[in-house]
Amino acid sequence: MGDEKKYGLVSAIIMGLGGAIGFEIFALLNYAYFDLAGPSMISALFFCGIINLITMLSYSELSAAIPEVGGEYTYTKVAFGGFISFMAGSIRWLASVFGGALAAVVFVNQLGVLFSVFSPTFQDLVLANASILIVGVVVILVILAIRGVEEATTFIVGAFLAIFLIFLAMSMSYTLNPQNVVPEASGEGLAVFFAATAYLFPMFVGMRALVAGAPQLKDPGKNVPRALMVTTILLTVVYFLVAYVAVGVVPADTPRTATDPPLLNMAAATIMGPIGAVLFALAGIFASISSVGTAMTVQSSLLGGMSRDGYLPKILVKAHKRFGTRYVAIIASSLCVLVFGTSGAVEFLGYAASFGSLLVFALVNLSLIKLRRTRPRMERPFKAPLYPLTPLIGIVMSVLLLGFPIILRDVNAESALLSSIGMVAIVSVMYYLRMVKREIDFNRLRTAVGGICFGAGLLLVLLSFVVMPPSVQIIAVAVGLISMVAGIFNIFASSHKID
Amino acid sequence: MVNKRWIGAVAGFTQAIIGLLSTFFAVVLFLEVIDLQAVFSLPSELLPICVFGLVLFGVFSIISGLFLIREGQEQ
Repeated sequence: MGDEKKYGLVSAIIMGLGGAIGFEIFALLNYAYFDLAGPSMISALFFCGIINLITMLSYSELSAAIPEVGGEYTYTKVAFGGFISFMAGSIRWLASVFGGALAAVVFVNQLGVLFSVFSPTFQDLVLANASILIVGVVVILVILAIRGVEEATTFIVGAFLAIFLIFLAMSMSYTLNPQNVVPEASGEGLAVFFAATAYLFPMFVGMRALVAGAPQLKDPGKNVPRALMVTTILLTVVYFLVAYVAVGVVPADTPRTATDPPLLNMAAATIMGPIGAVLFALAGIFASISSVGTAMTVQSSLLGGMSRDGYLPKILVKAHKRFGTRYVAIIASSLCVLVFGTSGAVEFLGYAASFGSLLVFALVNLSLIKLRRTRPRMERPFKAPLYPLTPLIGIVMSVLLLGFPIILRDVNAESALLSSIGMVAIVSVMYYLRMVKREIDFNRLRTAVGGICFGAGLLLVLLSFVVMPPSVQIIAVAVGLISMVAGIFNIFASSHKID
Repeated sequence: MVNKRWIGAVAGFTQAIIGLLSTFFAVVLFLEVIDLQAVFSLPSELLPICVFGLVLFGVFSIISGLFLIREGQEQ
């Protein structure tokens, strides 16, 4: 272990950029620009960078003080332990699943864009068979992930930066003058601005890869905070400039159809011609493939860690005999990626990935506050400045960003939030089922579940007479009655044992 | 007592199946695999809450059903 190669600051920055620069820019700018904030999306990107920077200060302190594998899951485990760390690990896993599914959808979209340059017939064929292609790419990547194939992060980062630089350089011959870049100072103007910020947030969160890779770095106490700061600033500048050019070239009121390429591809085709269209489509394809692969590695690592700590079944930590990878965890995660990926719902997946990340950010900031209070003498090579202001701002911003898309009644955001809450409820029940060992606690849980089922059954029976058509009424009453009977059985059996 | 547990196990099994069907229905409804939203004339604003309700109902039904099945097996 002592001979293991350690990396310096430049590698750390590449690691951060490699995690963050990816397929999201191809997927998320579109909805944020055409459907949410219009040109003020550029300011939303800048705001994303600031919020990210604030929470990265907390990440920097925690990663320097706890330089262990596991990132957020480890920090919350040290700070809170038990349920909170399980929740942080589960939400991070869910965000990664949604991110992986989004990457799979982007892969197919970019493949469609690539074919549209050469043959529109092929583009129609690709888009018509999107689900089959998503299944295909995920299956291939599962096989590669089980075999433990390494990613070419440095190559991808270099290629991306080069393509963006060419794009920016060629845009200089254009007169760019996007209007309304600053959001309107009205209630609705600010609401769409914050909603766009929440939606664009996944474009930045990938730089957490740097924190996860902290144990591989020389002097992580100094290099991780520095690299996080440099990466955030670089990323904000690059994204801001690219979005500025794209918005300047493609007006927000451009008539659009379902088969039209995303904003960035349209801007590339306008500025760089067919070569730009091909280059950006290829970049999107490689970035999305790489992201699905990375998501699978992160997911298997998280599931393996939680399984090792006893929160999940031991089978998830099982390694492949030949390749040494956690193949059960990889297959379990990729099935979830497949289910969500085949939906093809870019906006829903974007919000879902964002909400998961925002919740994890809030938990990381809470962990920092808890550790400062409970372990003031803990060795901290880096300290977040302006404590407690910075973690508090991080928490408040995360909660606000979660709320604004809901205030706007964006159906994609509502679906994403409710799905996330539903999944959090499921993992909470799983946690108690697995971790509650004492018989009396188990029976209390059983009474609670019985009560919920009885109540839900009664509600269903009553609702069936009020809102349901007669054809569905009989089924609803039968389902409601069975739920009530089962609830009563559970309540009586368990309350008898508690007594 | 044995009869009571046996009835409980049957109710639990039925409930777990209903839970599975409810969750599956929620997924089919959300993904619009067979255009169920149009069949039930479901407005898009109500879709998230319907899917959420179905998933929660399904999960709790599965858990409650499994409790009763386990008790029946213990007997």
